[in-house]
Amino acid sequence: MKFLNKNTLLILILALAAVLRFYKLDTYPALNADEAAISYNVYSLIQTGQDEHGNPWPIHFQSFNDYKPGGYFYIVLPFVWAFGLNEWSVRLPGAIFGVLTVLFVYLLVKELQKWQQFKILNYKFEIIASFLLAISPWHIHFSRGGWEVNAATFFIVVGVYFFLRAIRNNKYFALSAIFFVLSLYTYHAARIVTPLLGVVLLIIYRKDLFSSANRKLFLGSVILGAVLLVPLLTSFVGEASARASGVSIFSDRGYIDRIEEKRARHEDPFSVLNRILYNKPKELAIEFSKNYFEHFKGEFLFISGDDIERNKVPELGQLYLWQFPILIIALYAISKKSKGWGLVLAWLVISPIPAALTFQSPHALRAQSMIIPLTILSAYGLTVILKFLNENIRKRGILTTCYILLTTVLGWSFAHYLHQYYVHMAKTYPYSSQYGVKELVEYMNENVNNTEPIVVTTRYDQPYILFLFYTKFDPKQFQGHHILTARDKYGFSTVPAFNNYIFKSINYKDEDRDKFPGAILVGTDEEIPDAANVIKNIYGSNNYLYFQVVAN
Amino acid sequence: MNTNRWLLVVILVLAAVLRLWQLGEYPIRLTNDEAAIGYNAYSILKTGKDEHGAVLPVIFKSFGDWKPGLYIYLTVPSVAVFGLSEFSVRLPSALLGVLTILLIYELAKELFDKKVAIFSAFSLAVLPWHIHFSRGAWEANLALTLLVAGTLFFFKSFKSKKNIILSALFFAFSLWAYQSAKLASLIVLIGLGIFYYKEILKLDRKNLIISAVLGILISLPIITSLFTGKTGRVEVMSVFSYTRPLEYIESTIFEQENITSQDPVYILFHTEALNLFRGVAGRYLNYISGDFLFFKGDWANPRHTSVDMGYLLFVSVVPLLLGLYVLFKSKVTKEIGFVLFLLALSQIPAALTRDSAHGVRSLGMILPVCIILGLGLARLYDFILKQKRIVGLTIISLTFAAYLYSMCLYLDAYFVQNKYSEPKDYFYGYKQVVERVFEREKDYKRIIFSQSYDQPYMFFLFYGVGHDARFAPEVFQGNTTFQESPSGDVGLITHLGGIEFMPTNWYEDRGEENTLFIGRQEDFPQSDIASGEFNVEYINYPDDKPAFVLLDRK
Repeated sequence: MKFLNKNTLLILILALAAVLRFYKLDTYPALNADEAAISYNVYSLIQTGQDEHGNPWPIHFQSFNDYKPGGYFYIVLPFVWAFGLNEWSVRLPGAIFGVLTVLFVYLLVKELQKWQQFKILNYKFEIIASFLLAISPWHIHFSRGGWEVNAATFFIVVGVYFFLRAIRNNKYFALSAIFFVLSLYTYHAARIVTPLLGVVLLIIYRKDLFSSANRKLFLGSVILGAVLLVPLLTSFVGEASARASGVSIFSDRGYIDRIEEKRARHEDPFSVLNRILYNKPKELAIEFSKNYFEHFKGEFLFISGDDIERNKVPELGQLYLWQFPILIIALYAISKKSKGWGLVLAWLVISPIPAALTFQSPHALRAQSMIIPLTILSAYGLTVILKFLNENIRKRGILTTCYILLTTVLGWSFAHYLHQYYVHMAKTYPYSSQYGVKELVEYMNENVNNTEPIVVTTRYDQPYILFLFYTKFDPKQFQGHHILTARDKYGFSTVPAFNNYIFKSINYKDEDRDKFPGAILVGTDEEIPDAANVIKNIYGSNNYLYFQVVAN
Repeated sequence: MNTNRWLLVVILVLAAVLRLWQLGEYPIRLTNDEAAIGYNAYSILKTGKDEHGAVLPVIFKSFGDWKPGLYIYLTVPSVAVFGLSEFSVRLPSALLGVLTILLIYELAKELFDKKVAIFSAFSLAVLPWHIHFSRGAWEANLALTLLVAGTLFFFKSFKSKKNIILSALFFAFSLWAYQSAKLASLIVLIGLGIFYYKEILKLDRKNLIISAVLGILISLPIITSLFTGKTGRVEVMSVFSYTRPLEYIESTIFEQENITSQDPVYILFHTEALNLFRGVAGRYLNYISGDFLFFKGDWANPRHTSVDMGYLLFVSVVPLLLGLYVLFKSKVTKEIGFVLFLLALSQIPAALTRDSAHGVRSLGMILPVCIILGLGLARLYDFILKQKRIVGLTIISLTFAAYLYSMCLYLDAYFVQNKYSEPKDYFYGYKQVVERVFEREKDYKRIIFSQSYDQPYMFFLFYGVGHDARFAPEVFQGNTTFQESPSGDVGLITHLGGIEFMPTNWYEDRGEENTLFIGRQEDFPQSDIASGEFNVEYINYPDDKPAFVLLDRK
């Protein structure tokens, strides 16, 4: 290692991070509906100054009535402006943020060591941390695509980094405030993580912040942040906050039924003891704790990952399995000498809170910022092991064997991950992203005369937005010419028709064959009977059959 | 007596109340294993043979699951004194539970100090995990007692040499108690060997040899059982007996990659060994998850837990984390190392079996867990002593209130909520249905009881012994109709005292007159139950859903 100076190593790591994040970025995995929504709304803004539904320059985008935070949209905007409406332009910013997060974790860990004196001499803790983030399945997954959360995590890391720098050089306070605010504009979960992290920073560095040298600039930055937040607050009132609270544990009625059921099993359901044992605050506290601990469950972190297929790679946890012993070692070492670890540990404790407040737990997406403290801790565990090996094993042969073993385990896990990601993910979870739609629209563009009605199945998520995206449909013709349905039970709306496109579930035999004479029907394999006049089978990039095109 | 002694007495009394109060009534049903243990103990008492006529067996054949016999022998005196009843079957386990608390106190005292000992004993006394399996004839609970006793007397042998022999006896007999104990005891022994080899070498040679010989002699019958197929359900339960079905591998791996099992990619990333390792690692981690410890307990087997409860009191999260911190922070002495070793490995025996979680097979975890809880509480106590009086009092009151609240929640779940959660009390109703059959049977030519792996015959034996001579052991032993299972798993009894146990062949038999059919509701078509052609009688669960249906043609 000595023959390479540390910057060369860092550059190599960044290059590795970039390869892992940019390779086949436009095609794998297929674009999903949320990414298409981001792109098309931005496209619409550029063309008309309004989003797809005609709202001018929104802070929260109405989209599927889920009111997406707008930060990432505006980051994508120059990319769409420069490169046009395509997969690259919506995904590039995410991937770039991914690589930059690796860089800033390096800088952050280095900065932490300056302040906290837990530097372990000569072991390049920060290099290991950035390397582990570069190859982290959890981080790579959400860097490859237009995931708002990945941008928010980046902003939080940069915000913390500039905060630490600001303590010695107080002109950075303003930058820190700006990045923290950016994270709030970008992702719902950050609206809980960032303020809590701010409180932790305030407590840990209270003496430095209120020293006579820093006081003015610090408070000035706080005010700057507050002012920058005003537009967000005004936008958050109303629909956007309704959506946020719609997914929270408070809106789920299950716990109230549970209280009633348990109380009813006593002779007097309203006795004092009954009220003390079973009541709303207690049930909610238990529900929250249960969700919270789900994020530290081995099954989630190391074995199978998230429950949602879109958020995971088959047969892999959010972290590598070898990170379990390494994390235990890190915690063990920290228990021995805990000075300086407050921030990282608090970060880990805070990160799952927003996800635990929603009823879908564990949630790899909402709790993604966990990856930063987990990576730093893993790096520390690995550093402790390396230090231990170097200091305690005198025989060169044994030491080399240990290194070879470590490298083999890490190398194999990494190869296994890549194999599962590139070979199996799209095939094991064929519905995790909108495979096949691009191929479908390409075929239609070439072969189908635009004036016939085209009826497309709604079997897969939000087809309208993908059709808008792939046909680059003129936003002016869309705004005001479509209706948005009422919210379904999950809180989402959709557009059932635009131009000559109709989106509905296909019932070929009993309904659609006679209802749409001369139309083009596009259904799934199950929806289209063999007897129909199938003119084309559409396969996704994973070679699975997604659509059958029928000339009626 | 000093304060510590008094405190210990109070803790033991508390433990005894929690384990003995209404022991015969709660749990509200007897499991088939409990019934079998009771009946075999009764059979040994009356005839010196088990239900199958084997003379004083070490391992009881029972349903074909080969139960190690120690608990059954311990039940003999209890049955002799109190008669065959729910209470007499469960009493040994409850008393052993109380004894274990005393043993943990002594053990924690040997390992650490009196303060940690008293807090460990307290933590065990109020541990839902331990309360649950002390209230019921759970052989694993006996194995735990022996494990703790063996460990304790190992430490005591440093001061008084003869104790090593006792220690060996306890460890060896734990094999006689519970199948999974083999691995659990082995792990503790290895731990002792690693951390205390210097002390072992210093022990008296003669005693050491006697212990080794005795230990081996006593374990021998169990060890040989490994080779004679009397290992019960070890093969059925072991994770190594379950591989991925070929169709699954074909549809996922071969098809997706267009490879065969000889392909290097398969060997590198998809082997059965890797899959097994992943499974075991996953189960290992399940045992240290919040769900297992605090929120759900044994989610794979609801009978092993209380409604919406884990195995630790909610409040224990604080002493648990604190205890882990103390354990990690302390200088690595032999004692700390030993506890860390147990903490890391005591869920291995359970992780090697097929269930994604299992509260009984992981019972050995209680040993490290309650010592860690003790360490945590002791640390909290030290912290309180350092505070100002008013702050200290506030923390004490809050802690006390939190324990009381968690305990009330647990007791309510155990004594009230459990009663109504039907799937958990799967065996509820057998007592009632057996009594009903005895009342009605004289009016019928045939009694047909739906056959199942609940082993309904055992409930007839257990509750019938006091009723008439048909069910007396000496009669049953000669006339058993036990049929071996073709797959080597548990078998079934087909006839007993005029009652037929057979799979309901309803459409052939429904016309039979003078016949009483008994079964689960789903054994009979709803249309026939409602047709009016039959007299229908229900035996209900406490929540008034039917547990059993008795049918006969009008």
